[in-house]
Amino acid sequence: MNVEITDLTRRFGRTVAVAGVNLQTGPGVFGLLGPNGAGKTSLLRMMATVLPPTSGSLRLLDRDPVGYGPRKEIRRRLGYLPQALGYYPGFTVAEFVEYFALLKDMRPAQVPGAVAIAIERVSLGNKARAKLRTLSGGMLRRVGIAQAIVNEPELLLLDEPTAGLDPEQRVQFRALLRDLGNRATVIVSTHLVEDVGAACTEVALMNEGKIVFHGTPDELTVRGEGHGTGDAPLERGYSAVLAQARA
Amino acid sequence: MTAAGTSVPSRPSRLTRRPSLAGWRLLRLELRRSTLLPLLPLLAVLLAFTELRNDLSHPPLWPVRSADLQVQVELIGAIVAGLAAWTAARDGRRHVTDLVTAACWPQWVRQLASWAAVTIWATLFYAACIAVVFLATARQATWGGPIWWLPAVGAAAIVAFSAAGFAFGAFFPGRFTAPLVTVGALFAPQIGVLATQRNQAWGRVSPAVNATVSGTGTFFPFHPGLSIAQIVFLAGVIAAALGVLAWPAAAGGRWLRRAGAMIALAGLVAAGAGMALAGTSRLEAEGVIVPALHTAASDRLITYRSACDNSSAVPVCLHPAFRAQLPGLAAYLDPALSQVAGLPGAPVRVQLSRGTPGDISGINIGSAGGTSSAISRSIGGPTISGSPPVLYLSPSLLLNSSVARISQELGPSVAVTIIQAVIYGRPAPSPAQRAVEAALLKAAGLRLQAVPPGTRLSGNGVPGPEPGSPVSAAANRFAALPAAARHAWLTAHLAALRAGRITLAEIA
Amino acid sequence: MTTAATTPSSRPAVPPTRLVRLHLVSRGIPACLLALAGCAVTLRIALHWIPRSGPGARQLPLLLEAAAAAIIGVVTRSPFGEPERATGRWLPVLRLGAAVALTALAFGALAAGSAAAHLDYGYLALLRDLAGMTGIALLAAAVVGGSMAWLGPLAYWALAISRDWTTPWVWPGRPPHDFGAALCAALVFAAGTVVSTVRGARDSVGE
Repeated sequence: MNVEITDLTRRFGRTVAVAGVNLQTGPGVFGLLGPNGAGKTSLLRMMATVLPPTSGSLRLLDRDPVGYGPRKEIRRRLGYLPQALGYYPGFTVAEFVEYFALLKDMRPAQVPGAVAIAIERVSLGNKARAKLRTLSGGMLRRVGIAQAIVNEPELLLLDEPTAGLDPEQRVQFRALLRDLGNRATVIVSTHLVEDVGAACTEVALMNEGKIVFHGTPDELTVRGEGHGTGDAPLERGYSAVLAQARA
Repeated sequence: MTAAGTSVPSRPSRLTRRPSLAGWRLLRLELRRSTLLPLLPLLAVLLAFTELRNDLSHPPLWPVRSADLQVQVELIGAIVAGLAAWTAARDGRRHVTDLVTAACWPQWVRQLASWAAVTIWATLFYAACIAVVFLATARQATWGGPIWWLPAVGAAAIVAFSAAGFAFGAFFPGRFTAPLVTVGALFAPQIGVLATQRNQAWGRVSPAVNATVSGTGTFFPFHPGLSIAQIVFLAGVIAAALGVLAWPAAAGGRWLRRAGAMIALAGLVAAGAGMALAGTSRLEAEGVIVPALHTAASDRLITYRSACDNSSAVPVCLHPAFRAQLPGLAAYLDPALSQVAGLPGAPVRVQLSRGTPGDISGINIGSAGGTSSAISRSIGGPTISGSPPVLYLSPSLLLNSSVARISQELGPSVAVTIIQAVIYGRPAPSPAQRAVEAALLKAAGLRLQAVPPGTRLSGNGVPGPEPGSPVSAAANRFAALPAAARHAWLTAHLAALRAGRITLAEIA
Repeated sequence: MTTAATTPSSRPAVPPTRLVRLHLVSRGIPACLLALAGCAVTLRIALHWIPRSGPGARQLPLLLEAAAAAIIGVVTRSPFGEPERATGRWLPVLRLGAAVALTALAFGALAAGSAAAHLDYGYLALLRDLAGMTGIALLAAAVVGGSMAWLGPLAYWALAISRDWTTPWVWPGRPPHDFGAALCAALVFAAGTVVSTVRGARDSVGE
C-alpha cells in the first residue's frame, strides 16, 4: 500500500475540512470526487506533506511523513500538482520543469533527459523555450503536470489536472494517467466525473470532510441506477450518493 | 500528451547523488532569472549620474578614490537589499509555496540559492564600478596604488545588505517590505555616522565611515584596523542573517536547523566583536586607529622622491602624487618668485614642509585631563626658512589638488610672504620698503587695496598704500620699470633697503 | 440568477462607501497608513539628531519623503488583475481618490512628525518634494508595476542629493519658494495621477 490513512482530521479554526478519513490505496489511478468544500484539496495537501494533519495517522510509501528524513524521502518520490498553480513568469517551460526536477533531488545527469521527456509527454515539446508568461491557461496546466511527473514519482497527486485542457488534451491526459497508474499510485481530485470514469480504477467520494463512498467507478454507477440526477451514469451515481449522504 | 512507456530512471543512492552539481545547476537557473539582472543597466545609469560622476570629479589620488568606493556602497547596497527582500518573498507572491514545499530540498538550501544569485550579480556589479573608478584613476594618478581594504569593506557591505534584506523579505513578505527595507538600508549606515559625530566610537563600524583622513596613503600609511573591524562586523551580519533563515520548521531537518542556529549565533558574536573593536577606535592625526590592531612600527611617514618643475624662476618640488599639479603651481608662484629670484633672502626652492601627520591632515587632537576630547583643525600657511631660504608649502593645501583651489587657499599670502622675506629687514617697515613691496606685488599681478586699518579686505586683495600718497607714487614709479631694471636696482640696493637707509626719493 | 438593471438616473454619483472601503483594503491601506506613520516617527527622531542646516539637514528628511512616495506607489498594485479592469466606472475614481488622499495623508503625517522640530526647508518645500516624488512613483507603477514602483522615487532621491542641481526638474535642490521647481513637481504629480487614474499600475512584471 502506498497510501495508508487512518482517522485523518484537519481543522482550520472551527472549520473541519477533513473529518476522520480512512483510506488505503496502492498502485493505480484513484479518483477523488466531491462538491466544492468537501475537503478534497485539504486531503491532497496533507498527502503532499505541505499541510500537517490535526490528528490521525498518515503513511505514504511506507513512511511516516512526521519525521524530517522520511518526509524528505517521500518528497523525493512525490509528484504534486496543486489546484492553484503558481509559476515564475520569467522562466521558460524547460527551466520551470528543470527547477523542480532539481528540487526533487533528481540526479543532475538525468535531469535534461527527464525534463525533455516530461515536456513531450504533455505535448509541449515545441514550447520548451517559451516563457511561461506567454502560455495560455491550459498550457500552464500542462506545464504543471510536467513538473509533477518529471521525476517519475511513485506517488502522484493531481488536483484538478484537466482544468483548462481542451477535450483532445483531456483524452490524452487520461491515457497518460492510465500509463502512470501502472507503476505508481496516482490520486486525482476532480469535478469531472468522466475523467474518473475513463482513467480511474478506484474512486472515493467526499462530502463535508468525510468519505461517503469508496469503490470502483462501476459500483458508483450502480448506486445511481434509478435514483440520482445527471446526464451520465456516473453523474447519477455521484448525485445519488451525495443525496444519501446529505439526507 | 503521450502515454508511451518510458524507462523508469533508477533512483540514485545517497552515495551516488551529486548535490553539489545539482546545487550548481539550481544556482545557474537562479542567476539566469534573477530579478536584479535586468535592473543592472538602470542601476548603472543611475550611478553614472550620481556616485560615479562624483567619484571621478574628486582629486585623482588613489586613497581618495578608494575611500569614495567604500562610501558609494550605501546606495548600491540599499537597492540590493530591497531587491533581495523582493526575491525572498517570491514564492508567496507567485503562489508556488506549496509546490516548492512539496519538493525534497530543504527550504534553506533553496533560499540560499536565490539569495546567492542576487548577491553574485550585485557583487559583480560593484566590482565593475571598482574597475571603472580604478581604471580612470590609473590614467590620471601619478603615484601610489589602490587601498584595497576600502573597496573590500564595500564588497562585504554589499553582501551584508543583500543577506539582511533577504532575511527581512523571507520573514516579512508583503508589498511594502522591499521599499521599507531599501529605506532602512539607506538609514542604517547613517546611524553610525551620527553616532561618530557625537563621539560614539562604535559608530565607526558603519561602512559609511572610512578610516582615512586627508593625507592617508600619500604622506602617511593607511591603517587597516577599522576596515578589519568593519569586515568582521559585516561578516557577522551576513552569518546572522543567513543563519536565521534556517530557524523556521519548514527550513529543513533538525540538524540543518541546528547548524543554522549555530551560524546565526556565530554571526551575532562576530558582529558584536566587530562593533566592540570599532568602539575602541580613535581618530588620530594619521587616521582612525584601532589599538588592538595597530602597530607603532606602521606610524612612519611615507618617504618619497619629490617631483620637480624647473620651468619657473626657482624649482618647485612636490610629492609625486601631485605631479599633475606641478606646472600649474609653478605658473602660479612664478610671478612673485621671478621678482626676487637670486636676491639675498629670496627662496631658492619651493617644496612641501615635512610636518607632522597633524599638520598634514589638519587634525590635532586636544587633550583635557589625559583623555582625547576637542579636535582642532588648522591649515598651515606658507613659510620661508632655512639657509639657503626655501619656501615651504603645507601638504594639507595640496590635498585639495586643483590649482584653482590652491590659489583660493593660499590667496595673496604666498606672494606677500616671498616678497616680505626679501624686502623687510626689521620689524617696522620703512616707507621705501613698503613702496618696493607694493610695486613688486603689483608686478606679480596682485590687486592692492588701500583700506583704513582694521578694515576687512575683499577678495584676494592685499593692503596697499593710500592712493596719491608719496609711498603710492614711489610704488607706481618702481612698478613701471621693466622687470630687468627692477631686478638690477634691487640687486644693487637690497642691503641698504633692508637696513632702512633708502628713502622714497632714492627708489628708481 | 436574476439581473438587476439600473437606470442612468438611479446610478449614484459617488462610489458607495463599502466599495471605497473594500478597494482600500485590497490595496493594503491599513499597512500603508502604518508605514506612513512610521515615516513620520522616523522623521521626528531624525530631526533631533541631524544638523539643523546644510546638506545633512536635507538628505534624511528627503529620504523619508521618498519613502512615503514609494509606499504610495506600491499601494497602486492591484491583486485582482484583469477581472478588476473589466468592471464599470468606479475604478478610475477610486484610483484617483486613493492617490490624492494618500498624498495628502503622507504630507500631514510628515508635517506632524516635523512639527515639534526644526525643518530646515519648510512645509511648502515638503509638500512640493513629496508631491513630485509621488508623481514619479505613480509613473513608475504604470511602467514597471506597482510592486516595483518604489524604485522610482528612491532613484530620484539618489539623483537629487548627488550634487547641487540648479534645474527645476530636480526640485529638492531649489529654494522652497522657487516657482519653477514647484511647477515641475506639480506637473509630474499631475502626470502621475492622470496615468494612474486612467491606466492604473501595470499588472505584473516578470521575475
